[in-house]
Amino acid sequence: MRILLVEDDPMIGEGVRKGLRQDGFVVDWAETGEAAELALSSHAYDLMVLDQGLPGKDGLEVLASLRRRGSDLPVLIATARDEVPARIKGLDTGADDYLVKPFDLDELAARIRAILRRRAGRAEPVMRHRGVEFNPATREVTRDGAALALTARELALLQAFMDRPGAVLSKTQIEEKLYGWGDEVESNTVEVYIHALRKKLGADFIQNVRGVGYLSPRAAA
Amino acid sequence: MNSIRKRLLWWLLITFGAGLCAGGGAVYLTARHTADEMADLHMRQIAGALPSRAFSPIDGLSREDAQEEHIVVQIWDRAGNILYLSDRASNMPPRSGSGFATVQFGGSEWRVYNETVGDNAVQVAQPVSARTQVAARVALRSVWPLLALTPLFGLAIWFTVRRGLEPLERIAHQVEQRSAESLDPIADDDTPGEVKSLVAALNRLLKRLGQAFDTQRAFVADAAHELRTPLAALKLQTQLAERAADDAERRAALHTLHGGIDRAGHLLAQLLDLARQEEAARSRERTPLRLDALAREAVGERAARAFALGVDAGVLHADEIVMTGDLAGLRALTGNLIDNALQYTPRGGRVDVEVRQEPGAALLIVADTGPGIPAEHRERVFDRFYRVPGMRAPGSGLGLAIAQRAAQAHGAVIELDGNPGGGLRVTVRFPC
Repeated sequence: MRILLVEDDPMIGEGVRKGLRQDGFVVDWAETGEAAELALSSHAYDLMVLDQGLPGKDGLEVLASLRRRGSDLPVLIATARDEVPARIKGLDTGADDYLVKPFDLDELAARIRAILRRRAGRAEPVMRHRGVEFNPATREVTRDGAALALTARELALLQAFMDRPGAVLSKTQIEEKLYGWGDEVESNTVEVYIHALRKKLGADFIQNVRGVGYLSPRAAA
Repeated sequence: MNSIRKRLLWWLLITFGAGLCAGGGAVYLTARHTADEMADLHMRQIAGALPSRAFSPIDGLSREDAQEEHIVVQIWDRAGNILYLSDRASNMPPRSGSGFATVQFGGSEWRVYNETVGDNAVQVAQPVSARTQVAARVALRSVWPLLALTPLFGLAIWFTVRRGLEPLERIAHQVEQRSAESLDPIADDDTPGEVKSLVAALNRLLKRLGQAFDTQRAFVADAAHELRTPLAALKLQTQLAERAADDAERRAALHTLHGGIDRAGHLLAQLLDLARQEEAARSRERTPLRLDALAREAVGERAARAFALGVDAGVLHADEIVMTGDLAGLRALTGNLIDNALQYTPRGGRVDVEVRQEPGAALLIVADTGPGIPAEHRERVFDRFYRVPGMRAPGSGLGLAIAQRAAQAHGAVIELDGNPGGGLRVTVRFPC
């Protein structure tokens, strides 16, 4: 899951990025509204964590113009403004959730997971697909009841497939989900991770659609 | 009690009473004058009607038969023998001469008329008091209906005063009904002109109060916001330290944590300083001091930090300036300006402080070789928590606001200019 973090305070930005990475998210950090808009126009994100009080272009302006462009990107506002009118305004401008600073890192991660779950139309916190169970909160994976050990990148890849079972993901889409800014992407790494996942979850868990990408087919009846 | 209603009531009643008395008096005087003329005419008529030839003396009438006007008639013959006396009790001596006169007789004043009628000398007299009584009766008769109406007038006055003061009472009631937070203007529709100006003045005061409250509220909200940010950073860093997998990671998190605590501490100190400057602007102790010494001291205190930052900070020029001022306030002013300059000046840059005496003004100048402040932001940088967009600085956003308050308390103005060599040039102009 790739997240855009918009935060002008260097200490908070650094801390949130570090914390969310530990929770298995890929995080890009923009420090101004303008930088956020540039990032939004050039990358595909699963969610944006937005600070409201930004120098220059304000967080709410970024959100409003995002919604005007018709984007349904989930947005969580994390701000020091805690007055009820400010919260209402934030939510009514198009935010999916509102978190007041100082917040708990674990709560932030849980709220992000909840928003993503709702977006995928799931009520259950645990994802199930083809006999594989994945719990995004604990990051535990079982296959037919047996626990599996997966690396962070493998988990990210698994989550991408389980999030949209039956959908074809292009190699670029997969790369977007695996790597943030500044991460080195080697040309064949996606293939390496797919290979590793197949080995752990069964060869038919991920199938190659030649020239298009990869998909994890819905369970055969 | 000092109440408009009572005062109005009293004055109206007193005026009314005085008017009544004056009116009665005037009626009396007129009546008296008329009574005099009438009585004189009457006396002349009596005298004219008396017999013109001599007759043998007749006994006068007794006292009881005397008429209301108490007119006494006396008749003498040529030899001076009394022929007739209408009232034996009032046997006045004959007066020489003719016509009207006022004489003293028997302890009271009399109006006397003498005429020679044929062979007889006639004297008709009337006590003045009788005429006075008539006039008084007339006066009383014309005044008493007014007197009888006095309670009615009093009631009318009371009602009028009450009605007239009603708008005042309504406004007092409106103001009384308010809670401490309610600063909405008082409704002034259908209030009379005199009260309208009072209401307008009250409303202006309420508006100013409202603005002051809003500023204060905004400041508290801003302060809460600004305090939350370092707190959020602290919380994040503690959590990261807890999560740390190894010592190196934990140490790094703790190191950042320390920085965050320093930052929160600095913000708190600045907030307190700002509050102090605002408070001090009202009550300030002034002592004689040397501005140049103060500037040197401020630079000296920051020398170690400047060295660590790789910035060349020093005093470029210092005229000897003695002025009276608030030492703490001026220290905050100088310190914040120099701190600001140090913060924005990159390694290898310069911060120059100057103290100059000019005709009519003492100048404190702090110039740096940092990025400067774009002209369009120079107005707003004095606002609390305002930071120039795109400028990365760890400051509290309060430094210039504190400096501004301290300057204002000394009647000084702060000017922001571009430094000729690039950077910012802050000039504090003290009047002297």
